[in-house]
Amino acid sequence: MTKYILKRVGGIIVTMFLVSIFVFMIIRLIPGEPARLMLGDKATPEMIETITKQYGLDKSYFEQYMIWMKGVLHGDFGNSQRTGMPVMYEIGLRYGKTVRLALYAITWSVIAGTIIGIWSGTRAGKWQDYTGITVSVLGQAVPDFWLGMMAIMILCVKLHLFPIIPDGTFRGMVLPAFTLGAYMMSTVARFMRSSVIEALKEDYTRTARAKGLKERTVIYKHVLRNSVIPVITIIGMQLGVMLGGAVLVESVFGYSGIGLLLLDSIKYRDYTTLQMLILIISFHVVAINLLVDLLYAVVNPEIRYD
Amino acid sequence: MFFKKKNPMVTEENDMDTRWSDFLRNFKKQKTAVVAFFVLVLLFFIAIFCYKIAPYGINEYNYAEKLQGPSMAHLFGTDEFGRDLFSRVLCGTRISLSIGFITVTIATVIGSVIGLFTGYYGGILDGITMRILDAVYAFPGLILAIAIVAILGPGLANAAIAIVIFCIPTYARLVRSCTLQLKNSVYVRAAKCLGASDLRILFKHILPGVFPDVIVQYSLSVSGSIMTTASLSFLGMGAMSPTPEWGLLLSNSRTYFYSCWHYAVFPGLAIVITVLCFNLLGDGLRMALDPKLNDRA
Amino acid sequence: MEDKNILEVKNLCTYFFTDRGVVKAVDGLDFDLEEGSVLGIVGESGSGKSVTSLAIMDLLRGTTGKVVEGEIWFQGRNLVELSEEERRMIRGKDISMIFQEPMTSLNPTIKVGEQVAEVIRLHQGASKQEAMERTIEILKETGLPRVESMAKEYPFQLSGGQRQRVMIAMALACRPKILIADEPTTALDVTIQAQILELMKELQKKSGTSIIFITHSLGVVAEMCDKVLVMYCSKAVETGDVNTIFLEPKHPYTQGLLASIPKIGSQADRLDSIPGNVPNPKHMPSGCKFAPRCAFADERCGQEEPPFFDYGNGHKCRCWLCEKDFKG
Repeated sequence: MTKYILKRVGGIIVTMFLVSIFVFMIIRLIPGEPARLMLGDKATPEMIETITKQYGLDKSYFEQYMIWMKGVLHGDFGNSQRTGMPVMYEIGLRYGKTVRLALYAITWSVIAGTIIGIWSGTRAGKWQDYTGITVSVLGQAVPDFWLGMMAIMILCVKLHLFPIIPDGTFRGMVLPAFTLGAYMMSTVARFMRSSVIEALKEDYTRTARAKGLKERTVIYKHVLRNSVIPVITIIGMQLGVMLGGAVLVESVFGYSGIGLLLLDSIKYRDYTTLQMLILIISFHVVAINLLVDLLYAVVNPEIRYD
Repeated sequence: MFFKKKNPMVTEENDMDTRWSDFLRNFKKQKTAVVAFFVLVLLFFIAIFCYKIAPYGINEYNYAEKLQGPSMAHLFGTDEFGRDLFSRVLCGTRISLSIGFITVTIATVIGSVIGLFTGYYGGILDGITMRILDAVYAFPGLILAIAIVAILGPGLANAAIAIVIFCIPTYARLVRSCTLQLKNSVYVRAAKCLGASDLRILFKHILPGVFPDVIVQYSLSVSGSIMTTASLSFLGMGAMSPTPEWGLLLSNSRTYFYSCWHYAVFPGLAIVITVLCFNLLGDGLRMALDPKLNDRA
Repeated sequence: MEDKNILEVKNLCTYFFTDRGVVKAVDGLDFDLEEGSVLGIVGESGSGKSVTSLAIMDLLRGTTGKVVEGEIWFQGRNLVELSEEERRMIRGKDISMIFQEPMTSLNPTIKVGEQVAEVIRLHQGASKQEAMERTIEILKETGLPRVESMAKEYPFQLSGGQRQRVMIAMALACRPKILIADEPTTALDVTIQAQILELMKELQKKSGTSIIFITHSLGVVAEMCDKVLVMYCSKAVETGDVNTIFLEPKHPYTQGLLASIPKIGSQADRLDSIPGNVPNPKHMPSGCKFAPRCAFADERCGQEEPPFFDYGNGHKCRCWLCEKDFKG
């Protein structure tokens, strides 16, 4: 187990290093003088000189990277060109909101997806199964932003069930979380279904039935434990997709989280913020994958005891 | 032996069947996929002849008729400039389908070549490439596309480049893992013993074996690519006005959201139908190419 | 004799309804299992042996298979007519089963001890602790080493032979009246096979459980069984007690099976074998199913299905060749 964790963490350090190089290059790949890009159009020559010195922009890329990385590791992400405030502060303001949105979305989608998947898988070929398949196939084909727009149109504008703009209350969170989770729910449902169908055909399921266990026990104790394992990997992979979806959903609902900040940073050419946001998002993807791997080991004894 | 019962027994007739007719027969069993296939064929014709079929020009302004609901004259209604939405949605098909196919084809070719060589030769090159691809995977697809568009500047072409870049790792990984399996197969070793060159082995013997998996992924990727193009356009980083791109239409519709339901509904439906068909086709192909899956789903 | 039978199977028909047509896996099978005895069911793969056992256990659910006709009498009840719930209560308690694949038959995510204890809790209403104590006891009976620690391990930490011992413990945990063993040793190494057979014999002697032993190995039958039922293509072709079958086999198929056992010390260059293959279930021969492979087959064999000819003392044979023994 320790060896497994160490190996995973080692892999992540390498990945994050490569990611940081890419992020570091963003500002240097954009046509134009990096210092000017970082300061914006109104920069005076003196300001450019200061920033050039501070970030060693006249030095080699290697040295620049070292200076930049040192800053990042110390929590110095630079200042936003748009507001002049530290990027850390700007991100901190919105980080919690996106986490909240994502947590709501993950919670409902994983629970609903699992239930639909089991429901479909254990009734393969019956109407319940076809309903489940239809929901999940549609859920994967509908763009998040359109689903959000339709939800606002019908549930907010026509039926007045929810506030149009998320006001921080739970009711205001319902639609954004629903929209963000729809794709995840469909994916979980699909994989859960085929995983359950697969496990139902396994010899150990036959053994469990041969013991005279109730069908409920057979499914919830013997089948589910095994069919959940592959689904966990899928959930981990989808969480990254969900972070991308958050940008769209936040844009549709005007929810001021990380995603909206990312869009604003591009709109206002706030490259320092953009850079850090991308670094932070990819760090989250990597960290989530590590967590999922660990969770995977917890439910799968074969890895745990390796 | 009990579970084997369910699989069709190998009989003489089966053995004589070619892979192609096997595939066709299995594919025909996937009813939804067959329907999806025919809908896609229809969409192709629309994409080719859209400018001929469209009742109005895509940039035919008519301020007198702006923001009208669906009617016999304007099936999908009109937009803020009085342009016919039906014509615009119809012509959007060409944009979405061509971007979908072009991006994924390029990504498939590049990714497959990377996968073939790294998988076949292995070694340090393989290790480094895979690490880099892992790093690319650390960016969620849309975020990576946004970052690339931020560097290159907005526009449909740049959005397409971004999509190519984030599609490549998928194919590289897929083809690499297939190559690793096939590399040690008996027929590849036999070809080696006969003195076939590496290139010949790669393209004549391994590539065809990789093909089924790539085909399935291709169909699914095209739908992903169409979805991402629409998303980028929706965020204002893809297509620019007055291009009738579906995502852009949706983005424009947001201003008139409260009064004009039709403006937001129809372009969205177009995306849903197209993406749905490619997904269903991909699932059907997977089932048809891997009959073992037939029982499963 | 009647009341000594613990299980009577009458005209059992089990068909699989696939999208490519109906496959008759078991077609009109009759047999009795005497209390305390071991019945061997022998036949090639696909002859319907395993399906028979699944039909008795009511484990065809989730497949396309169905018992379409026949009766299975156990303790004065016809199992076929019982409700799903009633059959469930019999499963694992009165009739239990060991499967062919010890590697995949245990749940990989549940501790070994729990998998055995589960049955005891279910059928004997034991508390968690009682059940665990009983489990340890039973596992010890199967000759497993360091049982206490092994009970807390997962199946993948055990060898194939050990897993099969766990399966046996699980099956015998509630002292069942009948144990169905479906090729319990096929997947194991030869030395382990012998150990497992020895263990089953020993436990059978101790508990008096009746056993249905399904196998394709006549060697195993000779060692384990009192009576034998030879199946070919979903039907019984010959049945009798073990000595009769081995010494005076009547059916050409049984004779062929016996001839194909390698004999130590024989000078033969080639092993005798039955020519041909089991026919495809979709293209079943119309008369005797064995006719296409039978050296003695004549025209009638290809057209008419032979009935059972009863030699008395339980020895029956389904072959036209036997007719002459009865015409006198």
